[in-house]
Amino acid sequence: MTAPAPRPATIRDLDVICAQREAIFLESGSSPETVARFSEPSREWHAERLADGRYRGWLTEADGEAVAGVGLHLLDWAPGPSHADTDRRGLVLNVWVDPAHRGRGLAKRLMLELQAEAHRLGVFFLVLHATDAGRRLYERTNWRATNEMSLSLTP
Amino acid sequence: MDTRPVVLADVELVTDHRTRMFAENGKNADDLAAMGAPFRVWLTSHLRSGQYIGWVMQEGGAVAASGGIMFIDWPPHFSHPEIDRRAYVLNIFVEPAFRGRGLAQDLMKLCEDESRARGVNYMVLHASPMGAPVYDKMGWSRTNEMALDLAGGTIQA
Repeated sequence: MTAPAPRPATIRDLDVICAQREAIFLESGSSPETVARFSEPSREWHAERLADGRYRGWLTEADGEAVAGVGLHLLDWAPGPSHADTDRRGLVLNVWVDPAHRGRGLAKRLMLELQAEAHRLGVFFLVLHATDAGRRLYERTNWRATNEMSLSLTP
Repeated sequence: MDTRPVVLADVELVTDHRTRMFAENGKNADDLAAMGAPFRVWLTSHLRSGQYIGWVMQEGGAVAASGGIMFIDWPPHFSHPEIDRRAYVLNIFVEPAFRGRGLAQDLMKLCEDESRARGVNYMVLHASPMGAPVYDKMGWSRTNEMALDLAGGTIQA
């Protein structure tokens, strides 16, 4: 069975996008308390950027319900050897498929939609942060681990 | 050793350090040549707007090292639940004659302090093989970032 065609998300999909985002973190081990701490600030962040177009999302529906989604947010970035001609890279986020709909290629189909849009925008360098489960799937479509490091500052 | 902020007059210096940093790290010379002009434009506008903050370390008249940070727009999540920005460290470069004296660590400290002062508690960077041990020692750790180049370039692990 072919995966159904995704549709672009709008500000009306804010609840769905936020719910999918929270589901991702809960599934990858964050506690409900932790998720509750960023829930409202994250909602505001997405609402603003969905409204002005800085956040681009796509959703797949089944029986009128959104069951999968992805998002693309363009990051202002110093031109470098990975993208000399553009000062943007694409952050892929909020990649989610409802458990009951997994294994049907929905994420792959959504990602192709996202990549076509990035291409159209002249943004060729994409990054994401992968869960352990996601890593193998991304590797199959040519994503590779980077040399990113992070530090959480203590107050 | 004197430390001062990066200013507009340093655009050439920072571009030179960025280019040599990547060259030492094995990046393709053609890509680096292509980066020069767009990076100068980007740096100039980001210095003017205060979105790039950097430091130059000098001894006598000689430039010893430089580096900087920028802030990236990022949705709040568990590492920074109430903050919608991350600090990104870039262009850390120490002139060969000044290596082994801890200048990279001094620059990193400046980056951390600036980030903290702005209320941004989560910092990221991409580590060269030379830089990684320094960052390790300072408490940094590898993330789960992955990248895809739709133009077909290779991703540095």
